[in-house]
Amino acid sequence: MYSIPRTSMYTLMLSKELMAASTRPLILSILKRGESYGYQIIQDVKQLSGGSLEWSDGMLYPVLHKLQKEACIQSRWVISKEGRKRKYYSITEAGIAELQTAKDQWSSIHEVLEKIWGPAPQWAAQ
Amino acid sequence: MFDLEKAIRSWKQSLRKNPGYEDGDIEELASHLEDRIEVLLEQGLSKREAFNAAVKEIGDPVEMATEYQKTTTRKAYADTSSGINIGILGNFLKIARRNLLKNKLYTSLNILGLVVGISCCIFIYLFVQNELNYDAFYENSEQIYKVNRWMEREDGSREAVGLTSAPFERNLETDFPDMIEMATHIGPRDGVVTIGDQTFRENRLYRADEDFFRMFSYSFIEGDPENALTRPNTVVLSRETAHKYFGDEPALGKTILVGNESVFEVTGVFEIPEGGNSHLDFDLVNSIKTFENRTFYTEWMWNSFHTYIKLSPNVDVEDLNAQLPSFTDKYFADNMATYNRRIDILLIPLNEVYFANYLTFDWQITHGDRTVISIFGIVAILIIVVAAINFINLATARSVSRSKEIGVRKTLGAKRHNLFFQFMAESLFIVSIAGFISYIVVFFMFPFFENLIGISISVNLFSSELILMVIGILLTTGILAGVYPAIFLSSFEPIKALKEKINFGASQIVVRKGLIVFQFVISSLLIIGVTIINNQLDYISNKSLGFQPGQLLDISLNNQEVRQQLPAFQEELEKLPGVEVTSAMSGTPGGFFDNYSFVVDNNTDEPVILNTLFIDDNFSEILDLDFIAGRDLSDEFSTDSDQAIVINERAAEHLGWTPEEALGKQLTNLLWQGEVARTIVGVVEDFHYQSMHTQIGPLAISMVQDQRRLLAKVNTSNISQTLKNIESVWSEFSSLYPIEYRFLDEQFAELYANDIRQRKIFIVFSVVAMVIACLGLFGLTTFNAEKRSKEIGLRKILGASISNLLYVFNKEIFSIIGFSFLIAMPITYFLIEKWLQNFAYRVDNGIFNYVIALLIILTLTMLTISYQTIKVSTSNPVDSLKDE
Repeated sequence: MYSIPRTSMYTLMLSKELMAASTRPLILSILKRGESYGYQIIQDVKQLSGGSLEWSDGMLYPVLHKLQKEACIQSRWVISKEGRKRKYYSITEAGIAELQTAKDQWSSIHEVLEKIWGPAPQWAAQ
Repeated sequence: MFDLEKAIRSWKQSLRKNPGYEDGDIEELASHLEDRIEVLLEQGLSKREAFNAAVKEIGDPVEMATEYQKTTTRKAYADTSSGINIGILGNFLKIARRNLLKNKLYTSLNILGLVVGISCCIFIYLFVQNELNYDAFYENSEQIYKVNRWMEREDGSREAVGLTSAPFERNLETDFPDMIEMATHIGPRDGVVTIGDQTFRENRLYRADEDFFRMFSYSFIEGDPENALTRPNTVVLSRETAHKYFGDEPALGKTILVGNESVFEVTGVFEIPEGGNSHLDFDLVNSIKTFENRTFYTEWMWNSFHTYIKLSPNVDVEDLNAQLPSFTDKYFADNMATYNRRIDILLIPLNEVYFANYLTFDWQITHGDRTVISIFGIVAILIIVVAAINFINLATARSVSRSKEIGVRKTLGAKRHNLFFQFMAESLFIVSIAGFISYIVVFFMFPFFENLIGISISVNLFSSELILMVIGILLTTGILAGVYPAIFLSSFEPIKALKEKINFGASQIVVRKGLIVFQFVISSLLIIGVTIINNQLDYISNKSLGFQPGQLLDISLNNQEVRQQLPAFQEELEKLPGVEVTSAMSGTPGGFFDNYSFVVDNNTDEPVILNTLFIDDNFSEILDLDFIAGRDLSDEFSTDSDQAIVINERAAEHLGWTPEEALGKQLTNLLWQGEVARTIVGVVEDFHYQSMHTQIGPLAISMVQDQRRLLAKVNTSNISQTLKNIESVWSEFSSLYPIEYRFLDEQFAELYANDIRQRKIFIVFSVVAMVIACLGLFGLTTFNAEKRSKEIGLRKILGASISNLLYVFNKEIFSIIGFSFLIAMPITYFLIEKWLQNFAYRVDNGIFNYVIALLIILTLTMLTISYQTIKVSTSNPVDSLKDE
């Protein structure tokens, strides 16, 4: 487990565009670890980001929809023990490939930014 | 207590209203919501708090829906261009209903006009369908042809004669065995049928050979069509006739007595199928073999049969036609040489026989008139066009007053296509109501219609063709009426619409006026037509025939008993107080007249054909005829009965003589054996012995013992007693045959039955067209008055007099009507001229009729618009201007 260090002064607010761009690889990454359903995925993201990635919960679902349409993930309805219906999603081959592409892209961007910015300035870490 | 489940349900419900979600989406979100609430409840929140928090966290439903739509091709919430959305359609209908109810007057005018138009169309369709259905039910009908004689006339033109003689049938069959599969002949008759002590007068009796029911397929309830008429003294009855004679008992094997002639055994009972219209019109068919010994069975010149042939399969009728001249050459060589005129055969396909009303001597055959069908068809189209125009005009005019509504709708975000569909829905809604009501109207008015056209119609109101036609009319009208306001109004800019600056552009006004002009052209056309048709029919029924038909009773000498005792019978009749004089003759005016060939002064090279009348000596007295030259035939001259003849003026003219020159000339009837030359002793004035459709023909009158009818001049003062007396005298002379009589004016009325029927139909349809046009006019003036109320108020304040206002208000309408009339006049003139050509004696197609028609139209228009006009001219300007 790793965690993004939480800055005590202010929450890390991602721009809308960045959120949108990152949601897809995030979902795919989570689903690569195993089958899951909407609420659980959101909980995972929250936990992983230590709360710094704040989605309004409902916004996840349209993205799931789109991914499914692109055949990156697939879904099935499962009735839980309490008799509640849940839609479970799992990643597909295409999704894994998609995730790999995303990983490469993010890594290269990360590298470039790291080179430009250098090590984080001291004051920022305090 | 907060009900969590209910709260979740209603939350789901609220999402469903948004078409951005599909059902699965909502389920998934709900499942998420429940998971979240569960967690929040564990954290100690109350149910209400947990629910509210979870809903809040899940985010704004509309925003989510938008996100969903981005991921799919789903339609946007406001976008209904697919037109499938039921909810929106319901909304359209709701608004349509409200709009229609708000303008009750306009709605009912519109629906009324359309109902009248559509009902007329349905009626006409049924009639036309009925006519076109004739003879359609016979099997192999395309192989069956009627054989007619194609006779050359004196002037070289041809006449198609329906009756043929019996040998045609046998010889056609034997001479063309490869081409003709079978032939059959039918002799139309009438007779009295006796069963036990009951007698029935039967006017629809045929004699036919055994091939009749093999050629014309009827289904038999009893007996076998193949062999029904093979033996002599057999008869086949229609189901109704069998029931009339024998009740519910089987008829097969029973016997009936026809006339005094013979006893016939019933060998079959046939049934006419539902809607089985046929040009053949009969109740009984007896076997012609019974009469093998009679002259008419073998005689070539005895033309009293209808002959039909059925071609062998794969034979082209043209091949047979090519060989038919050789047939008449073979059998009529002598006759053709004598008269130097050809006799040929004209084959008419079975499906055209009904419309072959040009056939002369086509006894007991029902004929229709293709022209009437075309007229009906055109009238139907005109009426529906008038009704549709009306509808379109009212709808477009009315829609302008809705510009505010459109402005508001547009401001609130309605797209152009929303408005388009709304207007369309309204328009289609009205036409569907009209279609529905029309069907009800047709259903209840049907007997009236049958009565009007004088034909009974086997009707299927719900045939798929008819329903398709009605739907077609409705859709076309609805779409045409809807599309114009839909396109025009939906293009309004909201601000302009709200400011009420919308006005029809010049082009729209031209279109609307054009439509009104068209409507009134059609109405004028029909009304002028009715005026002249009316005049013509009045003219022919009032034109002096040369005698008084209303006083003349025409008694049929329909049996041997009476004919043999004719002088005694006449004497008895003349003793009756109400009977002035009687006269026996071969044919009465308006009835049937024979044609015979005569030679003049023994010049056998140039025979002439004259109508003949065979009379006794009271003839000119009873018809009140004057002699122009010479004298009447009379018993006082002993030689008159076999040596004298009288001709009419027309005959003298025909033969190239003045009346005086004619006297002393000789005429010889060529066909009568033993007949010698008769000397012309008198020339009588022309009188109308035929319908006024034809010129008075040349007529030769002689005293020959061939009297078939008796004319009795009766005193009309105590007519019913006189008729009873005549009947009792008749029964003394004829025990078996009931008396048949009618007044000559009835006989003439029957000659014009078709014309009278056409007049009735024309009147009804003109009224219909005019009613529809006036409804439209009423609607438009009402609308105009509303729209111009302020203008009129201002004019009043500024001192306009009532006459000024009437002028301003109505000048446009009257100029439109005047213009329409000008267009209608030449068209009508042309059509009416064609119609009048049917009559040898006719009224003038003069300007006077047109003036009358114009006056009628103007009067009706005045009446239509007077309500609004009066309302406008007497209104208080304060009312219309107080809002300013």
